[in-house]
Amino acid sequence: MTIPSRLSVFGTASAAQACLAITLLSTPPTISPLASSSEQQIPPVKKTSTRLPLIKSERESTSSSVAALTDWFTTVNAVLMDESDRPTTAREKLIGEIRSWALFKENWDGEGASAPLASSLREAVAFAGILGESDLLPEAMLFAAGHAGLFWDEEKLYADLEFLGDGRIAYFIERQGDKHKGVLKFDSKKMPTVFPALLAT
Amino acid sequence: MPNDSTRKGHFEPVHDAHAIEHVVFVLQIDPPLDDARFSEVRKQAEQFKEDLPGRMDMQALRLAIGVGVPGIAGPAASASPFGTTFNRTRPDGVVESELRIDRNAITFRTLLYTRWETVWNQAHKYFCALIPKYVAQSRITGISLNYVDKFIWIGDQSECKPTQLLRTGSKYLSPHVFELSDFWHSHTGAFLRTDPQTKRLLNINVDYLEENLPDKNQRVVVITTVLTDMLNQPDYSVLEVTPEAATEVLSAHMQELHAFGKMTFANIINDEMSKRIALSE
Repeated sequence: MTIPSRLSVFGTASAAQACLAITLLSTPPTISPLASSSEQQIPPVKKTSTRLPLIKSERESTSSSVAALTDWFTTVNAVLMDESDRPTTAREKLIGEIRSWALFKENWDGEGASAPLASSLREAVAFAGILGESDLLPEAMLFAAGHAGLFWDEEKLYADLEFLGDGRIAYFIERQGDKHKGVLKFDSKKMPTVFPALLAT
Repeated sequence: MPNDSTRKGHFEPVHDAHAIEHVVFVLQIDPPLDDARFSEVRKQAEQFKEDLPGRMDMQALRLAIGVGVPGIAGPAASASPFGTTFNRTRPDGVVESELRIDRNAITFRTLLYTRWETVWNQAHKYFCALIPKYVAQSRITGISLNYVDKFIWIGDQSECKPTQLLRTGSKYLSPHVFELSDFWHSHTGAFLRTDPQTKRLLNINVDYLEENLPDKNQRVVVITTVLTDMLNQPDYSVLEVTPEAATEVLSAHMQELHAFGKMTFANIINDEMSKRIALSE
C-alpha cells in the first residue's frame, strides 16, 4: 500500500474494533499572501510514474525492529512522495555546465587543450554560488589551458574572469569605456571586494 | 568546446548542478507533547511567518472500521490541532519548503537544495528555536536526514541503461537489477550500531522507471536515501539531553548523517557521475 502524500495513518487495531486515527488536513486556511492579479498562475506540472510501492503486508509481518525500519520509511515516504517538480534555476544550470566539464579529457577541443583543472572548476562554481540573487548571471567558458571562466557581455559591461585554480582570478572588465584588468586572490567563500562595483549592471 | 548534442545517451542530474530533488530533516521525540506544551511550540513557530507564510492546521479524526458502523466516529480526544505546517508555495501552488510541527516530531522539507551548508543552516534555524521545548518534556528518539536524488536519461529511450549511472557491484543494489532491461525497484535497509547510543537506520530505495510528463515521457533513476539515528532504543545506552544541549546534539547527528549519506551515495552511483555532480566536494 502506498500512503498518499499528506495522509498519515496510525494503526490502532484491537480485537473488538479497529480504529484508524487518520490525520486529515483541514481545508487550508492559508495565510500565504495572495498572488497579485497580474501574476500569471501556472498550473503545477502533473506527473505520473511507474514507481513501485512496497507491499504493506510484507512490512507488517516483521519484527518490531524491522517494523520500526519500515515505519520510518513509510513516514518519510509519505513526506517525500509529493512528486512536485520545480524548475532548475539559471544558477544551477550555470554550475551544472561547469561541473559537466569535469568529465572532459585532454584535447577536448580537438586542438590539444588541457584537461579541465578540478581546482579551477571548483573555484568557478564557488564564485557562481556567491553571486547575489539580484546579480546578472554570467556565461561559463572553458579555456584551452583547462581553466574555467565566467563572462558577461552586456551593452554597458564586458567582463571575463579566469579561475587559475590556485586561489587567484585573472580578470578583464570593461565598463563604459573604462578598462580594468589584473589578478586577485579568491578564497572561494567571499566575493573579492573589487568585483561588486565593477560588475554592477 | 564539445557540442553536448553529439554526446551519446547519458544520465544528467535533475537540476544540472546536482541531483537532489528533495531533502527532509526530521527530529522525533517520545512521548508526544501534551496540549499545553504543543500550544507553546506552535506559538514559537509563528516567528517563521516571513520565511514560510503559508499555514495549515491538521486535525485528527477517528475512523471506526470493523465491528459497528464504519465511518467517521468523531474528532480525536484533543481539541487542539494534531499538527501545523508552515510553508512557502510557488504561484502555481507547489510547496517549495515546509516546516511541519507535530506533537512528536519536527520536519522540514524543501525542494530548494543548493548546498548542504545553506540548506542545513535554514533548517537549523527552525529546529534551534523549537527543539528546547520538545526536549524539556520528552526524549529524542530519532534524528533523520532524507534525500531524493533523480537522474534523467538524455537520449534514445531504447538505449537507456541505468548501469551507465550505477556502480557495478554496489552493495546497496540488488545484483539482478544489472541484468534487467525493463523497469525495476531495489530496496535495502539495515540497522547499524554506530556507537553505544545510536542505532542507525540505513534505508535505500532505487527505482528505475518512466515518468509521464504532460509533454513527454522520460526515463529516470530515483534514489531515496533515508538515514535515521534512532536514540534511546532498547539495548542501547540512554541519551539524556538537556534543552540547552539539544541543538548541539541535533547538529552533530545531522552532520554525521550528511557525511555518511555522501559516502553511501558514492557507493551507489559510479565514479563518473560522482565526478559530474562534484559529490566529493
